[in-house]
Amino acid sequence: MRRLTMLASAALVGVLSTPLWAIDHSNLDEGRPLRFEDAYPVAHGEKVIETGVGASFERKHDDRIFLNAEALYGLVPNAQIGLGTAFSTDPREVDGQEKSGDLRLSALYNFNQESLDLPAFALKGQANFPTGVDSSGTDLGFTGIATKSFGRLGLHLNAGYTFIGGEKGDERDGQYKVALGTSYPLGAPQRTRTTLLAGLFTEQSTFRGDKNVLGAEAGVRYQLGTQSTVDLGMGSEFAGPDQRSSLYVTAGISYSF
Amino acid sequence: MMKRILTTAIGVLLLAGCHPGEGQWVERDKRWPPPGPWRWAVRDRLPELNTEFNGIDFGHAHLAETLIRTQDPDEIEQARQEVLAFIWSAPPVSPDEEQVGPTFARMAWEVQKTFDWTHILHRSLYDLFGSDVADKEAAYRRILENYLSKPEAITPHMLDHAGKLWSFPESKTFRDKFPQFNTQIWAYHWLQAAASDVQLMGDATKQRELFKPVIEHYHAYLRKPPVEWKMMPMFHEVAPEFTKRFPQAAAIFDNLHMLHDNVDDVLCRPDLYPNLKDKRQAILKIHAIYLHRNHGPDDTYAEYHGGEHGGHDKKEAPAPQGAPKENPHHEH
Repeated sequence: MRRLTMLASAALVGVLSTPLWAIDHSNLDEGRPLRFEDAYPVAHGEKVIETGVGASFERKHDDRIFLNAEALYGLVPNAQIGLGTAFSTDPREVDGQEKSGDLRLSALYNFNQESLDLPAFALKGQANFPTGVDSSGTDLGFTGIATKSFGRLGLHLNAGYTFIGGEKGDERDGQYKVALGTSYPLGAPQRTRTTLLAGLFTEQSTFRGDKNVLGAEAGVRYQLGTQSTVDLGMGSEFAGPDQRSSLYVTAGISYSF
Repeated sequence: MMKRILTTAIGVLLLAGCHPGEGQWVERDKRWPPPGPWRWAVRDRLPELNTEFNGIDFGHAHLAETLIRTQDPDEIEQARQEVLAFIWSAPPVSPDEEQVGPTFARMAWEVQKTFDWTHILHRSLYDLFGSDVADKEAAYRRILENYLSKPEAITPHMLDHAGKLWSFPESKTFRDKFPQFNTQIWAYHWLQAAASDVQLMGDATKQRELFKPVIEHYHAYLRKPPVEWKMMPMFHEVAPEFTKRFPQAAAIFDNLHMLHDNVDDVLCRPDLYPNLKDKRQAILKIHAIYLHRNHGPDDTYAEYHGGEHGGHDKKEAPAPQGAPKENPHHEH
């Protein structure tokens, strides 16, 4: 635990001290730093590199450090594609369909801008390829995303289902996930560089017969410069099967160009 | 499994694709600045000017959001002071305008898109003229062509600002109700035009020198808004050289500034446009004039065509260099 704390702190200091220069910093992407995202893609023509480091303190397994990276590109108007991966210590102990080293390809299409009455809607498709440690089968996921604001408070609903390939034993062949999040620009209107985030999520457990995972998380995003945003997040899977995370923390940086 | 995938995908698509909310289904179309070696040149080489532009970005959005909420003179004045405080803070990054003015962005995204895209054009040209790009005229043509290729682009034809576009039932309301805030905004437009001519006077090093008195002059306008101005400053007056060499860009920016004035006038008349949907309809009606491209004598909106100077008399302009002269924007 102590070793993990030191490593996470060092990584965070490293991230925060990197000299950097997101116009789109309020655009929320999955994992940076929380599980939910908003219904908007990166701008057309924008390229973003998102990286993060984190630690998960497990109830039954050994604690883990994870690193993740994703490249996003606004390929056509209102759509982004992404390619990412994540690595974890003790990779053979990772439960779930996404293993350490898997490649993840995603595409998000936004249907509309939020208006006075209508939320913004988006659809995200994701394929997870078994390139990682002990991974098998390609997983396909679809997530519907809606964003509705009240004043400056944004509400984001993500509801998705993943079709799992290569499941073994009692593992499920499909899993739904639902996340509900909020975002708020701290200090707005005068200051809009800091966005506070909080969310609740639930997902079906990896193994049949186990209870759903329930969790809560909170985080912050801060625009460092014209092209860069840092983020910090933490959360807990407070209910569910025994093999879950009692606490996880993450820190990351996104760079647009 | 394939059947489940298809059923799920179709279900989500149907849910996402339903179009409730009459007339409010708008595509987002957020764009990244066009690529080129000039990108970020102002940020990196002219940081003092960059912070002024970041401050200006806050001004329009905060004003619109405030006018939607209230017409109380004290609250409007407070908003003006907040804008000034933001400008004096020398903000190193642009504010997130969707968070500064969230109601306006959701009420009239079509217009917000036009503002955003034209602001990107503006910033791209400042970057270009602050860069070392050798053939700036060719790069200008490329940037302008890319700008005009998008549906939210403003026409490069000079429109009749002083006449037809300022003769709507609500026209001049913002100017007459809130003269200090109005001329503070016109001072932003003065700086934006003046900067265009300064940038034609030398490289970035020379420009940094030249910008010092220009920014001082602009700050004097902010400290004491030039309420004697009765019309917005025009590019041909403040930036005659830029207007001569790049008339289409100058016309676009004058049109943009007039569109801002039109929007502020609508937002100042709750008696005419009591709710958000009424405001939206009024703004979109005017917005269509600016998006129309041709404005020939026999075309739609022909009556809004402004000739050489947008209906303004040709007058001596306040030169941007050294000690700028007073801006003679009096109604005539």
